[in-house]
Amino acid sequence: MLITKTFRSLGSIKIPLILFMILLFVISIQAPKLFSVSGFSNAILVSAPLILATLALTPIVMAGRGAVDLSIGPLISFLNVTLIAWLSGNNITNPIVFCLWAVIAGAGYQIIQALIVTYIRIAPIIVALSGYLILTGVNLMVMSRPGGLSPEWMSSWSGGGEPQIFSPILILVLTALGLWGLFTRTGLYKQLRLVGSDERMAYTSGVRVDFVRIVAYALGGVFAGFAALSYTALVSSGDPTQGATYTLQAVTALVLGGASLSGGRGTATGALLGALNMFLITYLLGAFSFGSLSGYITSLAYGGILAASLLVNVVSNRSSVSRG
Amino acid sequence: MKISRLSLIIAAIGSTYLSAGAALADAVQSLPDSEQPIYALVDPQIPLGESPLTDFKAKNPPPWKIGYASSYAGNTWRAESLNEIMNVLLPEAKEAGLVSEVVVTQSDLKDAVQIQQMRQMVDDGVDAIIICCSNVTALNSTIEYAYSKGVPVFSFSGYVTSPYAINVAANHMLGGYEMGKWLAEEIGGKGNVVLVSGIPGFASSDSFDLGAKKALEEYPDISIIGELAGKWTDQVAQTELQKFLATNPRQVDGIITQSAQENGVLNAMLQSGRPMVPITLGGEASAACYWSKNPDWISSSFHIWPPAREMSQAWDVMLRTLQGQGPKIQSMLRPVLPYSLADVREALPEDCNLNSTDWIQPSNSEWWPEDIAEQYFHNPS
Repeated sequence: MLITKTFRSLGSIKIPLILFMILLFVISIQAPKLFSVSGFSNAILVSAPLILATLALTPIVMAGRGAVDLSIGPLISFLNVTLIAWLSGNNITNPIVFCLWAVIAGAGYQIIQALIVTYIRIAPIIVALSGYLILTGVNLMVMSRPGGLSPEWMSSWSGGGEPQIFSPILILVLTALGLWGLFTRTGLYKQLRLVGSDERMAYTSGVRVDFVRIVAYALGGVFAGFAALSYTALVSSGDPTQGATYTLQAVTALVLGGASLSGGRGTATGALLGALNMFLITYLLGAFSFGSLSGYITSLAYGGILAASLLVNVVSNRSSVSRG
Repeated sequence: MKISRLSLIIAAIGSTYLSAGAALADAVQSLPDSEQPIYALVDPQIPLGESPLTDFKAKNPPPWKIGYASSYAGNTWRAESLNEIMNVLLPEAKEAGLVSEVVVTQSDLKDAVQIQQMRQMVDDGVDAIIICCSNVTALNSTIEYAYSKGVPVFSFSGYVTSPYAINVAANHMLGGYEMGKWLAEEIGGKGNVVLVSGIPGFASSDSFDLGAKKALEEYPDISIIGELAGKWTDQVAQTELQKFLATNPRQVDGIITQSAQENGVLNAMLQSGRPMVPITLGGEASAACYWSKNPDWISSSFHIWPPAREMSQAWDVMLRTLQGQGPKIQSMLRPVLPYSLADVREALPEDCNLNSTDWIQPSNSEWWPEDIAEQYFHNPS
């Protein structure tokens, strides 16, 4: 009884949590190497950009109006190529400047998006799509082909040498989660949930809807900066096009983590679990020999598990509603 | 104080450049004279220094477990190179007791996925990793990680800039240059040319374009009126060129295309109803069959990146390195070999298939001769 009660209190993250448990269990049998120091540090290194990208989508999708920031992938690429070409390329390698640029430029871009959404009143998805296209072009202008080098201090982030559990990447992820934790303790968080689930009601109850939306976007932008930093560490160079592959993956992880695309609902735990589940699926499939099909099987598995978890979600919600 | 620090920095930078230059010259100069011309025109990003794997010793005795982390699988080129490793090279090496198994993964052009697959391979205890035509810089820290665990990485048909990897490929920039020069001569040194690139951002694709553009720049009357990305896939190249031809009424006098897509380019030209123009061929049997049936079409073709040969060269280099033979240089490049109509007619039957997915390729002894291969290593055996 107690178990079912705690379970129900988990709300939207119960499906991703069950999936997470199942994946961990199967991996412990099929590919136990994950539970070693090197397995863990590789897991953090590779999954960090996706975790942070998914986290970057979370406040924005919570703000409602069907705001799925499709431009997240190219935004990560934009921050990545500007970090490498504009900063590192001009010998500006101070870690503080580096991190500040990623975070401020990320937030700045998202604030512009928010202003367009709020004041010009264009549908967020269209704004995001335009952003996607514009940034894709801009990225190739900044850097026409992959190249450049990340600064010296970042090479210890990129996992070239001895694996370590408490890597700077893990700290980056923990900081992001901590930031989110702080945010949820402010009144703004409640207002954001209200805006996302019912904008009219939020407005009539005196919530500064526009301000809340702009803050949500800015927070998403900060996380996008974090994602770009971890991505830059991962590839330790600049790449104008690869970031775009994160858009679809992050949206998948977002939904897999139980966020609602219609707004109002979304948690950092959900984003984390969604992204980790995506990683674990790839990892598990890597333990089987699918050979040259492995890339396609992975996509297929993402799609299949996404559809299945949505279905389970619908069924379980319906049954809990009917029960009362 | 400031000045002295500055001069120190300048001296430091200067000395690194000098020593890098010396190492580079040494590495190329240590190769036989016959190989020197191949290194005359090289993509400046390709590392040509001495390999840190010179004193490499395999962490396990044979038979070795090999990982093949491919970045893509959707074209005839990848199919052919996979066929070579799984059905030709692996059985041979198994029989010789050198290799026990080959683990294959594919990342569908996602670098992060390829990074994860390679790290997983290292943790699962492979003895060497072969990668194909990947991003030139994104994998570097992963390659360093593999190296630190005693796993050397071999990049074939394309390079990575990591000093810890060995690159094995044709000199794609030279290939692009020679194909560009050939096309320019073929169309009489003037006219409009379309460049059908491969996957922009990928090593060999960019190297090829560099060379091709350098060649065409030498002909002031030739202009490149379009640059398309054919993704090394016939169907993609065909669609892209169809779109281009439908929206550009200008005359096209010749098409320089990378390979694993020339048949798509050819088909798009045939469908457009325009008069046929010279197209560069790189070994696809389908387009070669068209040439065999229309002997007056073009005068020559080039083996720019024969899939099975680049793979077997990488395999040979990998086995030699694992045996402790000590590679001399970071990148082992091959020249592009021309092939003629006679070669095509010898390789293909008269009733050849215009939709074939096969390749016309040079033999091992033409591409990576044993006596040449030995001179790329310090202790050949």
